[in-house]
Amino acid sequence: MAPVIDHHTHLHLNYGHDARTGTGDVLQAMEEADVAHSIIIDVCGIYGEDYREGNDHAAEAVREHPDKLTGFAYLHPPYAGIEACLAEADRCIRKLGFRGLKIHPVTDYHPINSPEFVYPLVEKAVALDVPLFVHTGHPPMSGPILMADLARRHPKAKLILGHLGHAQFSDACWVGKEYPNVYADLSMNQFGAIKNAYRAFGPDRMLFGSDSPTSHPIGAKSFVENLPIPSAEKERILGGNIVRLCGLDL
Amino acid sequence: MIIDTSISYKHPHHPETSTVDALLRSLDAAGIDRAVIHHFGPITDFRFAAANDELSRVVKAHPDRFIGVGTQNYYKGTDETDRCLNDLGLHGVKLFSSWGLAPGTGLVEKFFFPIAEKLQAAGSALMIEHEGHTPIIGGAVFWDNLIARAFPDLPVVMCRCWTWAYWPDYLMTAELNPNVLLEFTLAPTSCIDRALRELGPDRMVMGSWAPEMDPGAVVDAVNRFPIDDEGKRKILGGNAARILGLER
Repeated sequence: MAPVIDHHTHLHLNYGHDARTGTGDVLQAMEEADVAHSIIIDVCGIYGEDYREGNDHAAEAVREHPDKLTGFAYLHPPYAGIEACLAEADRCIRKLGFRGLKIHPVTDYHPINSPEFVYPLVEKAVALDVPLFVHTGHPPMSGPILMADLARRHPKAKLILGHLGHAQFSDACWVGKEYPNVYADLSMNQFGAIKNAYRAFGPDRMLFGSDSPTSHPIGAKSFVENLPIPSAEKERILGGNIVRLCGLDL
Repeated sequence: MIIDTSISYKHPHHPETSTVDALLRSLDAAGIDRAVIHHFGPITDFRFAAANDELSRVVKAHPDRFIGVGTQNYYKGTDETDRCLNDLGLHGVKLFSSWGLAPGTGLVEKFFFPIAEKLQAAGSALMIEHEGHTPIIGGAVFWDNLIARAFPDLPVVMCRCWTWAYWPDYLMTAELNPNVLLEFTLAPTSCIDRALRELGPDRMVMGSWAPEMDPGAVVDAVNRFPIDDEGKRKILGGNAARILGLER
């Protein structure tokens, strides 16, 4: 059995918790769910803090647990401007060893397809040959259909459509069907939506993720494990696809 | 000619203001010449065929004021579409997303495409009511995109786009598909400005959804848009006449 990799976990969430979550929360959930490795993203930027410091926290977590964690950079373009973001993307990928970029338009209040804040990041992701992971599913800033604009403008970009669009999963599935450079993050969605995603994205562009510790990876994993599809396809969804997408050496 | 692209006959929540006489009075007060009328009863009682029969009688009694569009259970095939187009003298059908659950991946092709094909053959437009009901239906634009791409010569009108948070999605859909039009009623200035800038007057139509909105207020709003008279003429009725084949 190939290693199970959760491509969507967080540090410093304040989501329904008494205090900010830490590395220990993610690692404990991984152990309970038999997840071998996770992509970790620090989201202190959501709460108004400097996202660059958050990336340093994530890098520290990765240094302490290199066999268990890989980092994605959280970017918050309006915070200090797009140039600062582009510099941070370079720093995180080239110096900190992160393997992807993440943006959160809903809390950062810019549209997914912002020409000012996102188009340059897509170009940067292409130049760095890493995926750009985009939170979706909370209009007006992050309807999944807006990913179509990014995908059509940059067919070489590798785009991860966050949360399968939440309740807008049908729109997300249309984007996935139309644009082969878009991948589906399955976190925080439900079984019916994930079955639709299988038909739209196919087994090679679906990515197991939990949004841990918001949601426990046990539940997210069970959705994939219970899909009526061949085992080999489940293994790709549970880890093989993110390994290939990010060039992980695991 | 001023054409309101959506008014509701026998709205179950507004029975007194959605009779024929009440609707005609509101159109007259607004200076509206004609209106695309649908029967709103099936939203709650699902009696589509009976509603279409009744609507047909209403339209035949007022052929110079009403352009009728039927409603149907889109899971049941195109017999009712054919009946609306060929037997009842209606101009097509309006699909209500708020009725039933929106079909998932693969099912729009199965249920909606045959209807779209009929409407295209008849030279009419497909009107999809969006309503904005979250979480299942609200703002969903996947079917507009699927249908518009499969039928690039069919005008697809996104109707009842009342959830302002979804306007970026509606506008993106229109940008992706040149045969998609946006129907609007009273809307925030920021939304209208964006629509005028990104779509232009050729791809916008006015639909009040009377009696829920005052059609006169919508006409007044259009007349205040920062565009020339030709643009206003298109939005107020020229586009509707064109896509519904009224000019032929």
